[in-house]
Parts: sequence; structure tokens; C-alpha cells
Amino acid sequence: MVGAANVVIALIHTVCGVGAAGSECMDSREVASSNRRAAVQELFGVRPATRPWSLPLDRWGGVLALVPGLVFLSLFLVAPLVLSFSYSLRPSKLLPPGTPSPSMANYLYLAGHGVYVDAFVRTLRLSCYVVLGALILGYPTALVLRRLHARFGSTLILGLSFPILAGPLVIVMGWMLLLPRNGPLNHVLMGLGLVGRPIQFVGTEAGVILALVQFTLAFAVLNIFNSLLRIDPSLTEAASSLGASPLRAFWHVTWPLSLPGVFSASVLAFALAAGAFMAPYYLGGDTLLVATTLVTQFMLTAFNWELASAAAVVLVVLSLVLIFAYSAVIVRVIERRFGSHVRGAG
Amino acid sequence: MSRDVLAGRFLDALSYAFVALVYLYVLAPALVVVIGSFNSAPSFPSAFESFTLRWYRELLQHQEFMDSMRVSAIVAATAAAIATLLAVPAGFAFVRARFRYRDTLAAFFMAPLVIPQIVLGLAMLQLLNLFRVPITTVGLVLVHAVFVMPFVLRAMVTSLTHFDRTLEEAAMSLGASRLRTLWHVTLPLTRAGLTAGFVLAFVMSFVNVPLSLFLASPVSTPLPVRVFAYMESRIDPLVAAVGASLVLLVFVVSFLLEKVLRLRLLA
Repeated sequence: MVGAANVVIALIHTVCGVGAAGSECMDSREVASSNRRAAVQELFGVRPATRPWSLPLDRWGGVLALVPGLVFLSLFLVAPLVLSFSYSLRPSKLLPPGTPSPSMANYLYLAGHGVYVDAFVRTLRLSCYVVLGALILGYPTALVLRRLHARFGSTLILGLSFPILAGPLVIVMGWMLLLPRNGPLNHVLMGLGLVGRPIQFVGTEAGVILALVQFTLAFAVLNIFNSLLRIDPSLTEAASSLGASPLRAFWHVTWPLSLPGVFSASVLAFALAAGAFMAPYYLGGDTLLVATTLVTQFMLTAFNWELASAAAVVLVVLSLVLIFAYSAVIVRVIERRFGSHVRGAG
Repeated sequence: MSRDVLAGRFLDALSYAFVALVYLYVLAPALVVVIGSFNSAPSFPSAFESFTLRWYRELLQHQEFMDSMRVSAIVAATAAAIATLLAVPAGFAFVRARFRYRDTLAAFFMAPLVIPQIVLGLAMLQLLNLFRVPITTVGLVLVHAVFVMPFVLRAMVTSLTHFDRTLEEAAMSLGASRLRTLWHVTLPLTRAGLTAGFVLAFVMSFVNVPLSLFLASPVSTPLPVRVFAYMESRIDPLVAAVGASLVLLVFVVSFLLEKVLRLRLLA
């Protein structure tokens, strides 16, 4: 459990770049990836060598500096979420009048209706597909970007991040233009002879997945790319000079060392997909309810705050539990890879 | 040997083709929105007929959209400013100070990124309701500030991590006080990173839909939510003009930052 908790923290460092400052002597590439290295050190239980408090901020100054942010987040993040949870315990107006309050009645109501259970299952299933898609497209892209990095710098990365910056509204609009039965995508697919007749994208899970993978891809590539940057090129050179084929060198050196990046990429893609609203709303339509559109429906058409809160709580808890379980699995995988590596080297 | 070289070239070409396809996939939606906004056909989506600027003219004359654009700008600027004020000291603490539960606190500061935005908006609505605060821009600003703070914090942490501390030590050995060093050396040197963080926060707030969905009121509806509501009844090229304007805004801002000011927006 401690391992898993470490991984979650390491992951958050990796995802968000808040890591230990690391040691002093670093070349530029190392500096760029020092946060990631901290994450890896966390991952393997090595504490990063933090430098003692340094000027012009002493120890107490450091703690005081956190206070404004802590107060703000407590008031406007934690308190509202706690309030939502308390709302979810009040029986909604759909329940019989005698229902005790507080109770789990809203949750039982959600669990008792197939439509709602389906919405949550669909959310998780779609998010898993999105993670797979983002990794399958993102890993090779990150590998190529790693090679092109010196020449094109951040321009390529900026291009990839464009969907995030332009926002969900523009992206969903674009997919609504591209995906119809007689739209450009189907024209291209049929023109290339890949499909015999137009594919129905709008109103199906395929369309939602297509849009969500596009939206999460940049985050996935950025995380994998950063973990690739961290790998010392002399390691792969050493492997090939010792006679390893490129494929072997990749499998035994690059891939295991990039696993933390793969891990943070998949967790971030999962969280983004599970919390996405615009793509499922417009491309999924009324028949493909997911957790976020369910919350919206309760709020905007049924004005049922209690059920909306219960659905929101279920969404948050489900995604956190899944992320946690995934962390535990991945830590095993990494340990096994590295364990065998150490034995192989000895 | 030459066969190996040929095989290597072939693999290279294959990998570049793959990446080109990925970029096409990533950029195509924004591209078709921009193209669609210049299409004279009155229905949307439809095949391209002829070039027109008519929808942009209509957008400029559309009072509701223009009002909402102002609301969005105010909310985004205020939220980004609040986030910056909170993230600067926090960034210092995370990079420079050593204290217990540091990792847990870092995770807490990044939590707004992992919690679904719809849930954040819902919870903020309930908080406002509890204290009988009327629905105005206040709720919007607060929830946007919570959401964008991690982006500024991240930028701050990155620029402090790259920081050359000997400059501070030099200032202090020459007799500058801590506060003077902070003001005249440290903060000016992190300005670039902070600017990037602020702009990223502004953009992420400006284009957001789910955070604001439950917190919009007739007098204070951010542009993306206004368009969202508009699209409920009809979808026409006017909507594409709004989308294309957002694309243009993001393009200009990120281009200025990366090429003119040489800052990295996402790193």
C-alpha cells in the first residue's frame, strides 16, 4: 500500500511537474527532466536529495508561503466537495417521503436503475479505450519527437497541444463537421477503399473515443516524451555497441526506463476521459449517457441536486479507486522488470 | 551494410509518415472549423461553397456573444491573477523549503486537475447556494481560479527549478536583505515562467465549458457556455466563426509567447 501511495504522489509530480528540485550539478537536458527524475526516484523508493532550506526563504517562510493557497483550496475546493457529498446523502424528491436523511438512498436509487449503472460502466469502458488509443498513438509519436526535438524544439509539441489550448468547444465542433455519415472522414475512408459503406460515428462510442483520444493525446505524448528525454543516450549506445539489435536495446533499455512516463500518461488520459463532458454530450447523443452527462441531466433538466451530487460522488470515487488499483499493478510490473534487469546484469 | 541503411531509411520514412498522420488527426478538427467559418453556405455543417467574411461581421454585431466575450475575458483575467498570487509563494515553498508532508501537500495542490470539472462546478454552485450568494461572476471566478492554479504553480516550479541560485547568493553577500534579493533578483528572473503560467491559465479559463455550465446567469455567461446554449437550438456558421476566433486567439497568443518572447507554454 505504501508503494502504491508513493506511486500516486510520484505520478502527480510527473504529471504536474511539481517535484523535488534535485541536486545542483545538472546539464540542460537533466534540468528539463529533473522533475521526472524525482518522480522515478519516488517510484523506486529513493528519496531525492533535497537541498536544505535556502535563501531567501527560510524554513518557516516556506511553510507560511503555502498558507494562502491552502486556505483558498480548503474554502473553494474541499468545502464545496464536502458540501456536495452531504447533498448526496439527502433523499431526492424522487424517493418516497418517509426516507430517512441522511441516508444512502440516492446511491441505492442510482444502483437500482440499469440506465444509470450503464452510464457509469460506459464511462469506465470509454476511458479505458481512450487510454489505450492515446498510448498506442502517443508512444511512437513521442519516440519520433524525441529524435526531432533538437531540430524543431517546442514547435512540434505546441502543435500537438493545440486541442487543449483551443478548448473542447472548438474540438467538438470540428468533429461534428468531420464525422457525419456523408462527412469528410467517411469520404476519405471510402475513397481509400478502407470501408465499403459509410461508418456511423455520431451517436456511437467510436465517435466519442475518436474525439477523446485526440484531446488527451497531447498529455500522453508530453509525459512519455519527458520520460524519454530523461534516458541517458549513452545507455542505448552501450547496448548497441555490445551487440544488441535496436529492437533488443529498445525492449531492455528504453521501454523499461520510460514506463513511469507511460504510467503517468495513462492515468492523466484516464482522468481526462472520465471527466470529459463536451465530446460525450455532442457526439454520444442522448442514448450514450456517461457520468458527466448524467450529472448535467440531473441538474439542468430534472433540477435534482441530490441525485446529481450522488452521481458526481460516484464518478470521483470510481475514478480514484481505478487510478489507485492501476498504480498498484504498474508498480508490480516495474518492480518485476527492474528486478529481472538487476539479476540479468549480475 | 547498404541493405541495413536502406532498411533504416525506410523505417525513418515510415515513422515520419506515422507522425504526420497523427498531427493531421490532432489538428484536423480545428482546421475544419476555421475553414467552415469562411463558408458562405448558410447551413452548418455543409460543403464549401464560396469564401465569405459574413459570419464574422454577424458575430461582431451579435450583442449576446460580444457581451459574453467580455465576461469570459474578465473571469479569465481575474482567475488567472488570483491563481498567480497563490501559486507564486506556493511554488517557492515546494522548490525551496523542506517540510513534512511536502509530497502530500504537492498532491493536494494539484488535485483540481484530476477532479472532473463538472463536479467542481456543481460543488461551487452548492457552496454559493448555502451562503445565499447570488449567481454572478464571483462563483465563476472562484472555480476557475481553483482549476487554473495548478498550471501557474507548475510554471513557477519549473522556472524556480531552472534557477541559478548563485545570483541570489551574490546579491546577499553584497549586503542585500532577503526581501531586497527576492524583489530585485529572484522575482525578475522568474518573470518569464510566470508570464507563461499566467497566459496558460488565462487561455485554459477562457475556453472552458464544464466548469461554468452550472454557474452561468443571464447577465454573466462566459462565451463558451453561451455558444453551448446556442448550439442547443441551432448550429450555424456563426458558431464556427466563434470557434475560429478562439483558434485564432490561441494561435496568436502561443505564437507570440513561443517565438517572440521565447517562452514555453507547455513543458
